[in-house]
Amino acid sequence: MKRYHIYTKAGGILSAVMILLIVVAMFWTPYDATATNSAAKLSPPSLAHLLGTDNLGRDILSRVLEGAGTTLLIAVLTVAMGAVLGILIGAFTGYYGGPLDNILMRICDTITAFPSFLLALAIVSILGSGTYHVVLALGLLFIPSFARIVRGEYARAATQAYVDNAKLMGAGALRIMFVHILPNTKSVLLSAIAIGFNNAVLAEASMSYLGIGVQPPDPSLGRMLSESQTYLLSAPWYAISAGVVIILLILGFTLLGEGLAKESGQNA
Amino acid sequence: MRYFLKKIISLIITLLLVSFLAFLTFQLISGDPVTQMLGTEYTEEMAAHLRAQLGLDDPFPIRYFRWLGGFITGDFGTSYSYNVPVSSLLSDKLPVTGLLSAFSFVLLVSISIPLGIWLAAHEDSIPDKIFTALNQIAMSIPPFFLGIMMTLVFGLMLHLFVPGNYISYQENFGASLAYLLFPAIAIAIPKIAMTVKLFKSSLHAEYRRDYVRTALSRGSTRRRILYSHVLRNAIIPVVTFLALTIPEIVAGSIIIEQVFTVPGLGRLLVSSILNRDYPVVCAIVMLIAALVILMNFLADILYRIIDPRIRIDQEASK
Amino acid sequence: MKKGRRFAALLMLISAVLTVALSGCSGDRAGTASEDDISNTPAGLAINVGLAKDLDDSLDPHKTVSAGTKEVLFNVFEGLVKPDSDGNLIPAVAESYVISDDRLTYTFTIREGILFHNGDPVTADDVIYSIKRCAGMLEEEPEALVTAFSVITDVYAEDDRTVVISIASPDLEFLSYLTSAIIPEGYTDQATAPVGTGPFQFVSRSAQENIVLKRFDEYWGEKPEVTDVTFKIITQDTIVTSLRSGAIDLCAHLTPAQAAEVSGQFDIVKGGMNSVYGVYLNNSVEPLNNVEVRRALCHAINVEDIMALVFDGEGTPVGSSMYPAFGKYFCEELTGYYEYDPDKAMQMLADAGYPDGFDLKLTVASNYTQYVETAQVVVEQLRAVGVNAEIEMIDWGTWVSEVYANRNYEATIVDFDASTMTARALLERFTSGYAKNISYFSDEEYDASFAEAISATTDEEQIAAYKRCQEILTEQAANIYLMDMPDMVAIRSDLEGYEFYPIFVVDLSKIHVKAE
Repeated sequence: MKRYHIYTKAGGILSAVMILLIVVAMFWTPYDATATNSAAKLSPPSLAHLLGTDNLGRDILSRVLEGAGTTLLIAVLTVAMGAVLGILIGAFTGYYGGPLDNILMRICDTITAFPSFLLALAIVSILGSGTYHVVLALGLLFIPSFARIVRGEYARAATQAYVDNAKLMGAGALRIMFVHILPNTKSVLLSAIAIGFNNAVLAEASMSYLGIGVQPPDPSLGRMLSESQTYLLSAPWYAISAGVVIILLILGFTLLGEGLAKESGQNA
Repeated sequence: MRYFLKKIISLIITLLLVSFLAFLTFQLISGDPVTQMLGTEYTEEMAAHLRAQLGLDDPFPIRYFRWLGGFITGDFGTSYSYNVPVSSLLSDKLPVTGLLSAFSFVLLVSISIPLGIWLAAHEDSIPDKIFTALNQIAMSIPPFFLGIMMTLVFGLMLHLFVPGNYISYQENFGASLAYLLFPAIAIAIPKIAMTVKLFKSSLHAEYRRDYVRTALSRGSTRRRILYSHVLRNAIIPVVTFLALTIPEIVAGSIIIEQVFTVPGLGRLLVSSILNRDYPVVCAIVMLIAALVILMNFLADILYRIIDPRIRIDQEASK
Repeated sequence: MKKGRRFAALLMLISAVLTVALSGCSGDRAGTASEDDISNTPAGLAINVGLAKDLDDSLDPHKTVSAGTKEVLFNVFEGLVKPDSDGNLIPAVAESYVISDDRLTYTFTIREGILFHNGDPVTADDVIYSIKRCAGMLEEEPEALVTAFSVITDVYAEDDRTVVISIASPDLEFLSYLTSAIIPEGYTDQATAPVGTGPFQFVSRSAQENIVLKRFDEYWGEKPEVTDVTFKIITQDTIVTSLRSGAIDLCAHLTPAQAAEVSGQFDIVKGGMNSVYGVYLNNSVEPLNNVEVRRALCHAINVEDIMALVFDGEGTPVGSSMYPAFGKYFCEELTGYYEYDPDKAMQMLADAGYPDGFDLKLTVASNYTQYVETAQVVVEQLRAVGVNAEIEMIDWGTWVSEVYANRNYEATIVDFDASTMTARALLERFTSGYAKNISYFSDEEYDASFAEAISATTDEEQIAAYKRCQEILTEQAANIYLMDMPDMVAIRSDLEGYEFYPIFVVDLSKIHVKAE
């Protein structure tokens, strides 16, 4: 009988609820999220509009749900891109070392040291704006942190007995890297993914807060926050709705990630 | 010694790569500094004249090496937008961001360390549980949302500060610091939460070590062990973590400066990117990159001092 | 129990630290607040003015390009003549002028005793230098900075206080261009530390932070009541919080929504933005090269709805490239030329061969809230007639080079102003040969009418020709003309005297404390 860590339970439930709401919002929202209504501008939360309406009379609940969906999609794809490429780079550089290691690590340092806003703006400006270009820009930024963590784990593992044993038994390098070593990095990877997800949601929100990323009229949580500042005193629900949704998204996934990392750490 | 030499060479290579990437970015990005400077009404002759004047007609490598040569000799060029030397813009704005970052860092250290110790000493008490739960939430708050909420509550409702009324540090240092308190808190809170969490788990792991058990069995109190041994060992990963948060704090100030209208490097960077003011952007990028690289270096050294195993691993992997 | 007490002690400690810190700054705030209160005493009236965009270009009045910078420099510089708030040209650096009967010679008498901010008297040489600099007649400035000055053939001093300008052909609008700033000859720091003759003199600029002006006590005209002005650079998103917190006392160019947020605390002055706001169409791309399609789009747009949603019902609809403040040129009858009728629009699209509509990319600059909000409403309205419009948001830098300079776009939302107070500034941009003809509009009759207007010798002829130009733009549906946007100004409720001009300026010289 497996007992789940309290973080796993709380995070799992919170994330499940958020994902459920987001999936529902993909097919149905109380109102059309982009439909303007001059008769209902900035109306406070009510039964008709549970979270009120924004300055163009659009239903905030519908918009935060759709916005959360976009943010979630971008964050998941970003982390996936960062993790997959980061693991590949980290595994090879960590396992083999040598000049390739040096070159790739210098490139990683460069990306880390470069202001993310500029890099993202550059990519979006070159490729044109759009959800997948944002993913590409952010994903690139997330490779170095994964690569560095995985590299450390692999460098450590390369000296350990079970790897030597595998070598003696004639296992190929690829097999050792991805069948023998990779599972042993599970707990480190899980927490890296949780932190990465947290950072990806934040990064997406910050980018759209600064005006790059998802294009209006499609809702985006960051842009909603930046627009809501004008109406802070007369319509605080606007800012609070968007902000709380970001917090819930991050909270659910970090709790889940940490819980899982703790469990696998204990098992190991 | 060899280690330092190698590190320094790789630092320089990274900085060169950053400078090249920064320059390349502007080669690829759409938008032209000349159309920015001439506005909407200009003739082709004026554009050509200005382009030649700024040396923008030269091929990419020439422009890059000319800029790099200037940069190394301390000539950062002249801002396209403000018509003043980049160095004077930076010396005006760097202290603002520096002050804000330093302020958040001081808050971070002075709150998270005592709090971590206190919570570790009272593990599983009710306040510990409350803090752990709050901590988890604090870690999930985007700093700019925190900033917006602080503007609403402390600025507009409680009138503890005047949002938008930044006072220059040159004019009145105290008032400037007072204004920066709120942005500094907004940056610091999520970091405090992370640091406390790390510190607690580091202390927790340290308590499980054999020497602690031995000491306890010999009749030492938990408290005495905490101050004599545990703390010293447990704080080291926290110090490393703190070194790594410095560049994050500086990066975080970019967006917080927008929320609180603080005229620092962040706002200058964003506006210069939008104005295609390359000399300013390149200089700020280099500055931030140098900071990130130096802090990584520092964290690495700290890590080596405390964990000799790394050295062995690296030696072995060669 | 013990644990609890220690916990409480810790909490108290933390709150004590915070209280000290907070009270420290609230004390400071009280300090500045009381300074504000005494700022109306004989010591002078100091005001903070909010600017949503930094003055991040040259401060040289002849070279500055952004409307936001010109708006501030209006307080620092003057031309031989300058506009008043009704759009008339009144003498400034010149105390009087005579125009010859053939309209080819302009003789100006420089105002007696007029000084630059640096204390030097304005001489005929300074005036000649300024005019030649704008006309591109100086060796170090070979490009004409004011294109209309290309008609100047000679500028010379008749005596110390008299300057004569000769032009090649009569131009009814020539005097308007003489609002170009008069600057001291041989002064080289205009770009960073401007020196002029206006009611306020420049003190300092700090990037992204502020621009400080103070009253010029030697000013020739009526001295302003305001003694010190600090323009604080804020962002669009923080205008409302900065006003409500009291950080700024005056802010122009608010949207009606922003104005509504602060109306309890501030007096709101309403006016027009004095620009032509519209959905500008690239007439050279499919299917916008089809005039019927453009007309259909005009029928599909509901200006009333845009005004209601984005501008709280404020604003003045326009039907062509002219705004109402230009009373004598504005054709009110063109407003509503295309009534809102989505069914008709769909029918017209079907007749033009697009029964299922088409895809349209609407490129907008992200730095103006109004553009972005209007774009969202326009997209909804176009979708209602089957046109699948999508917004592409780009930053202003990309917009200027891609949309404006390279004309690489399908449709965009923007507004055009006329900083020289001439109809020419608004209409020349649609002549076929004009390099910045954003719409690629090309119509022979239009070009002919425009040429006729430029060379007209009487006001009536000129007005008729300019009106004909506007009619052609409307009939050909060159663009979807929306409105002159509302321009709201919030001013601290104990102050008054804000005046709107037919051009984009903020005049601080008339701001004063309300009489009790």
